[in-house]
Amino acid sequence: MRRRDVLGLGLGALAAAGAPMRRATAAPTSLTVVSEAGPNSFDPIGVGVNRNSIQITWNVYDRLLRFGTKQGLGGASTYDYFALEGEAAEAWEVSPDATRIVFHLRKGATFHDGAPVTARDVKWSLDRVVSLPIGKAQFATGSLTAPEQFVALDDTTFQVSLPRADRFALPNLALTFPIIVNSEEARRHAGADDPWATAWLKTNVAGGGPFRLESYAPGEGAVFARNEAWRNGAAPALSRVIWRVAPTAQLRRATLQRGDADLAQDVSPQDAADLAADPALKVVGAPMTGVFQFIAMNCATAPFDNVKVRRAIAAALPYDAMFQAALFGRGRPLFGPAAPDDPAFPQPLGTATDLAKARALLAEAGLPNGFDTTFTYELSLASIAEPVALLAQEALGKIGVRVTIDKTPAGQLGARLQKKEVPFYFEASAAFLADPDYFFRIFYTGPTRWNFGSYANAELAALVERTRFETDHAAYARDVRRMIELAKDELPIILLWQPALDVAMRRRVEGMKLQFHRQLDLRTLSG
Amino acid sequence: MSAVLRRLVAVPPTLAVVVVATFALTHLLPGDPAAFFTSSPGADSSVVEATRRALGLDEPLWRQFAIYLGRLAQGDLGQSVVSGRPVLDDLARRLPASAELTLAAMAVALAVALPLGARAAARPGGWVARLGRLVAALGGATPTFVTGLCLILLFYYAAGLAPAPFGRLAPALAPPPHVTGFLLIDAVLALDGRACLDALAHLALPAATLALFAAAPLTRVAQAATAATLASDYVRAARANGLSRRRIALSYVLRNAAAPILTTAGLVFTALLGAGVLVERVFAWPGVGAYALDALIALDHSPVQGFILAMATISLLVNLAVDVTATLIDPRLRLVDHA
Repeated sequence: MRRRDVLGLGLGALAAAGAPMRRATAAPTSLTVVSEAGPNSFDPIGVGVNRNSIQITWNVYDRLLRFGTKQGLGGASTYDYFALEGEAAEAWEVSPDATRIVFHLRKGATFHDGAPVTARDVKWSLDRVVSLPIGKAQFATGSLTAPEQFVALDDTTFQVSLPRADRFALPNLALTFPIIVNSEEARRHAGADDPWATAWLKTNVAGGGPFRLESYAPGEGAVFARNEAWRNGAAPALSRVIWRVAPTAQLRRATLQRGDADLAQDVSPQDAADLAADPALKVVGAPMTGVFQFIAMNCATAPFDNVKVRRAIAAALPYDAMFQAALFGRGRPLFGPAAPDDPAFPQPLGTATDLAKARALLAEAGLPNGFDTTFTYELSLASIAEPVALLAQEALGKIGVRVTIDKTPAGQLGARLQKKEVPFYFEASAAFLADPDYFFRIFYTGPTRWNFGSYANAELAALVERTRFETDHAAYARDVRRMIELAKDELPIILLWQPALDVAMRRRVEGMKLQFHRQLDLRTLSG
Repeated sequence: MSAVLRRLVAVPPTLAVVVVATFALTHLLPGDPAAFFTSSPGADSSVVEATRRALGLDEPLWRQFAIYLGRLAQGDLGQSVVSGRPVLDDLARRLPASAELTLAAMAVALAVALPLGARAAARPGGWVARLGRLVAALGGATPTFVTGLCLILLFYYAAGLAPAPFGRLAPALAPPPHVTGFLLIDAVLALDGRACLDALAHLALPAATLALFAAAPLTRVAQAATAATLASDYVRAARANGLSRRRIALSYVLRNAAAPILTTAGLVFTALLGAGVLVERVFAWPGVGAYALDALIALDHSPVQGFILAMATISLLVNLAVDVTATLIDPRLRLVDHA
């Protein structure tokens, strides 16, 4: 990463030395975007499908529902998890006991080949999700597990039934998996051993979304063309979007500043801070609801099984310095004081730097002379994790905790986290479903690697169990408050911050709506 | 001829060793691909197991190897998870890109290194010799991605002379029909002047970057080989007999210096083909180096195996060609081979 910093400085110095001439920009309704990597599938469900693939599937397919829009931190438009809108569905009704949901499809909506979008297509598409292992695991979080739950009542009416009321059922229909596929076309390419056409849909599009995929070159880019017949929302302003892969940050930055690119994704906090100062450019950024970065301690092994040790570490970390050095202040802190009685999570844990308190806690824990430990982080996160690790190492040294830093490639770290053999580490993760009980269920309980602190607390486990299908708002809020108390008191993971999702673009580009999946939503963009 | 035959016979066993070694190495890599490819919080252990089955990693290792060999025999290099496509398709698409870049870089490097080295050997104290030392030092000491970024800064960012360094062709241009995979050749075959010029413009900076890297060892070898030949008894004899400088240079010096230069050029070529990774990254060049590196980081076994196999085959063939040519140029090598 040091190399990259040096190179970044080189570009910055040259930019300062003389503002280069800019080339004439492309036609007004066309946009060129650059990102670090390209897609590896046109099907959101599959083994190893990368996040860049969502940029394809999100724009060439529709879903029944989509998340609304709200103003995020710093004035950027972001998705609003708690405000669902219809996309392929123009309206939907929920039965009083919330176990039956009836969707009415928009009249006149068609797929790219002109075939009408029917309730049978919706059923086939949702059947597909619960019939593929990866899709089923996701849909099960919303009590959607079997094809029998999906019924096409007539051509434009579609019903979902649930075994019981579940607050995660509707949001699941707005996530990345339940794309509405042209079932006639897909079935023509399905085989006896592949009834859901996974092989064909991986490399072909059979959708009805606002954009068609005009061309695609693996590893190089893709071209989108507007679907003029799109009826499931306001017509997109862009007629053409050229997506180019630019693997290095320097290349993304140089092409944006020269005007060969209009919009750059995957912008590091440092580049975002620099590019925001360029008069021809702007940076739209805000933290995504469920995205967070943290320091975890393995609560199942000594010395981190002692809550006093965890509190001592939390009191020793230099939060402000880490926030500035790693994130250039671009994000929402999860340290420091929290608003009282806030039932949302993640929220600031009330942590603050207090070395005297940290030393006292270590002494109380029976470790007045500190201990030796290893701090691990994943190589691909190095630009953020390295300053965090170095500052933590220095600060912990002051209370006698001697830290060795260990950088590990992503593939290896995943396997080691699975085996729960990493004592102390930096990581990043994200929950697409934003209700707080989901966050605690995934990240604070259970045997998976997502329980980053290997935390086992009977009370929290019981609370998580009890709130799963709770429909009484007061009871739910009370239980969530207790979970938040436990998280702040026991600190199995020390939440650091929610990093901003930064997208840099030319000034004329408008309508950027930051999405939970961090890819571009071309529906609203203009330029 | 028998020497060539014997070299050819040695190719299959070498490739067999490569196959076994790459399979063993990729499976010795630490990390669990199944866990890596299902890294979403919604995935529980049943999903990880389903992924393991889908990737064929639930079978015992000897069976995985047998399956791999069976597929290899049918010319199937497996499926890449990272790119989502068959490895053979990926390599077929990306190898020509890397080869075009490497060959162009080699051509430039040879065109610079040979005259420079020869001239420097003829006049060891002259300014050409000093220039040669500078090229050798620069090329040897500067990492390729630094050279590449400097060239982008100068010729694209500051001067605006080079096209945006995205790969091989401007996005507005339709690529010429695929014949060889070499864009320059395909464009010429299609009589597409614009595509040809654009491909050339895109090739210029990355090729120059790699050429500087390649010119360093080539200049040194050219200089050393020429110097050794010039100091030899037969050149002194030729001079004493009053042969013209031109005659000496062409029929005595060039022919005798060619063998070591050729051998080095072969080594440099194979090194460039795989080691262009950083240049490919910097210029978003869709070649094999960046492809293999991505696969390696992501624990994606098939592309790594396919890449190593392809590189080993190319290295073997290039070395074979170099050896055969060297034998033709220098008859003494035939004697060594028989010994």
